[in-house]
Amino acid sequence: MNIKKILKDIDDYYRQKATEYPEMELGEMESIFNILSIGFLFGHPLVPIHISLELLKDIEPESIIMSINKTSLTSHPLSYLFSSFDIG
Amino acid sequence: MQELVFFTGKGGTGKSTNAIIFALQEAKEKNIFLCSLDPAHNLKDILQIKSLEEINKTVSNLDIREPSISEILKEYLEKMEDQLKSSHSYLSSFNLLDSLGLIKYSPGMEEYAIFYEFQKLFTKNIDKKDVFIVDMPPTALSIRFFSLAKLSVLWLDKLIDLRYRIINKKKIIDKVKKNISSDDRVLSNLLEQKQNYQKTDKLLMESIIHVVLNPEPVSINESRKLIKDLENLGYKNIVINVNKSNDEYNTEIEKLSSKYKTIQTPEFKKKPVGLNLLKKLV
Repeated sequence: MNIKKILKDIDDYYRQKATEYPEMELGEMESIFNILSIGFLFGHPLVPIHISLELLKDIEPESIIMSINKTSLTSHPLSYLFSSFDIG
Repeated sequence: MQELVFFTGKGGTGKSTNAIIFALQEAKEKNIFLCSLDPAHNLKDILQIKSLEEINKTVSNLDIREPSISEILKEYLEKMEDQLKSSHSYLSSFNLLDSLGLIKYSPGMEEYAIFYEFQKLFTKNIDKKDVFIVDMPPTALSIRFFSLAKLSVLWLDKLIDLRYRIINKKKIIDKVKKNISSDDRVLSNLLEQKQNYQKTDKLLMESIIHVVLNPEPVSINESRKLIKDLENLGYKNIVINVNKSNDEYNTEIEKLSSKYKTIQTPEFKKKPVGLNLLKKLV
């Protein structure tokens, strides 16, 4: 039995567990940032468009796709929150 | 570069004519660049020439440009499209690149095109000219131009604040997971944009703005609102340019110009058009 590997797996598990909610918070903050800064792509033009256009090239593609998917959930915010916190 | 001078005011008050006369006057001793950022520019019509190359060759020390705002927007959006295609090729599958064609009609794009062209021309001529003169669009678009840098900095400050909070949260997560944190390109982009707008805002604050008006109630009222808006934005170097001045409305004009230098230009018997006549007036 490789004790070191077992201890490492346990360590990795608890590190993952510890960062679950902060990562979910981070995801929400990124979405809010994207909707604010490049919201014209999702039908929410907020900041002046010239700022958005200059910023677009440096925002991660995955982050934009996540925000596009997120905007479809804006009509069901409670159900999304409940499923994130595993309630119900 | 010694001076940056703008000519603005209500449409039809003689901004372009005054800008040309000022440029011809200054060109006697200094190296001058005059550009019209008015989408409805008419410098060629006032000078009665077919192309600006004619005047650039005949009047020494004077360089005149009349960029097309729609061409500027087209050039800017093509540049954006190229940048996005190389870094975000997936965007084509969402037809997002097609949307860029509609963006030129979005609120804010017209004044941004003027601002973008102003920055480009100014940077290009900063070391070569003594005076940079700008014939501006009428009041509404001018005010949006003059406020653009300041408003952009306000928005960028908010986005930078939010970005720092995101970065701090990422750092905590990375520390727990023993990940290596990388530089945030978005933050660098925001800080670079802020620096650019702050630099241009400082430049605009030091410029001289000629508010051109005619001695009649509508023009005086619009100029009053324009001056108030410029003062609220922090502009102090304002010159009141009364074009076609006469003895009417002297009291209203005096109230308006009590804080600022005033230049009175009489109405000419002959309409001031044509390069030769304008040179004689100077």
